Amino acid sequence: MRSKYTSIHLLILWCAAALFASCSNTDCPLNNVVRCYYTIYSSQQGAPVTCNDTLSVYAADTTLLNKAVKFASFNLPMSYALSTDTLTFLFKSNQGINTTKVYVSHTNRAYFVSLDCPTTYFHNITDIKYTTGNTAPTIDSIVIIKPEVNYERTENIRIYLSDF
Amino acid sequence: MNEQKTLGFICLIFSLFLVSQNCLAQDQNNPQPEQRQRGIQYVEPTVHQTKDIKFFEGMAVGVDVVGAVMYKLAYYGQLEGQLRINLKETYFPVAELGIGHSDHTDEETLLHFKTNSPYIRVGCDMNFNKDKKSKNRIYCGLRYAFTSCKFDLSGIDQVDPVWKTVVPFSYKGMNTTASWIELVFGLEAKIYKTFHIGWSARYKMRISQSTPELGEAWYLPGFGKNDTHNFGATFNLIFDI
Repeated sequence: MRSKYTSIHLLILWCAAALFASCSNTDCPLNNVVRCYYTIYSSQQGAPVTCNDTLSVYAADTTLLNKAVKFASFNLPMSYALSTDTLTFLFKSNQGINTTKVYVSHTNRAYFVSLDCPTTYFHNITDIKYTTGNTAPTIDSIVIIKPEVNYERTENIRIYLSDF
Repeated sequence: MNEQKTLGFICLIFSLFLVSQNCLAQDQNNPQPEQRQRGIQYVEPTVHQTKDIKFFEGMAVGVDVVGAVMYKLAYYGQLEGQLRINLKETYFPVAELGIGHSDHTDEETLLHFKTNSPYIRVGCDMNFNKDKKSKNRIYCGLRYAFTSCKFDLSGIDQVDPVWKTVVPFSYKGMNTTASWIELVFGLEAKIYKTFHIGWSARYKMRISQSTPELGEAWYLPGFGKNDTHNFGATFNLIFDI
């Protein structure tokens, strides 16, 4: 009888030890970068295209995209606190330089996963306004595809360029 | 986290030791059958009498010691009491009511989580010990648990790396609710008259949760560190009333 009880308790002790040993983990997301994903479309063809010109994007004295060439898509950060990000798009082509201002309005919210993980900010794009330049390529239109900007690496904004 | 695991493990081992010692001591009190002798002998069948066990055998109240120790020493813990009905020494409908507490700052991220919220569990245990009159119980059970939790979360100010704006990170009074199911296995031993001690191990499965926009609560009162499932243990002091 004594050995029976001892065996049962040892078994229970072993199971409990296994449970306690196995229940510690940190679930911080591996992909924890929040970026707004832009894609380039041709306004004439209505299809994705690769732009052979050079594009730089600036915001608040910071270069967000530096002389990208042959690009079909790119991604940019969004501000944690501002309601509108003012982005300067600088296209360089054989025909000259085209500077376009893009105003991305959005809401911001902090996002918390666990005490072990750094916090971040998610965004919801509410509106986009832009100026038009004179030198090709120019922005024909901008469409919000997916307003929620979070960890997902999916298309958020589609830019239709003219003169393709 | 490691300190918390160690503390829980020590409590578990301690409770196992106490309960097992009690069970073993009672075994030793039972007389062992004598050596077989020549001739025809009559051996009484070891049938556990249940005739004089009433349908309503009384009620009991209890407190959880593991949760209280964790409340004082660990990142989180709970003060919990239980009210239990004894039906035929077999079925034990039970309600457990507690207050979960956490006040913790992570050393690396400097995020601070704080809550002090109630929770309730209702369910039933079933005693599988054949000797119902011994007052020593081996039981399995099921619980449905619910908490309505209000928590605060704060951290160091965030500096936007591009626009250089400083964003304070402080959120107070965030509301969340959660419910879960618990599978319970436990042992209980009578110590003295109406006083029992017992421990239980629990597997918890979260079945619903309302999440505030900020994100999930780090800790759910009664459930533990928030996840889809969790493990827990209690060490109960129980008094028959």
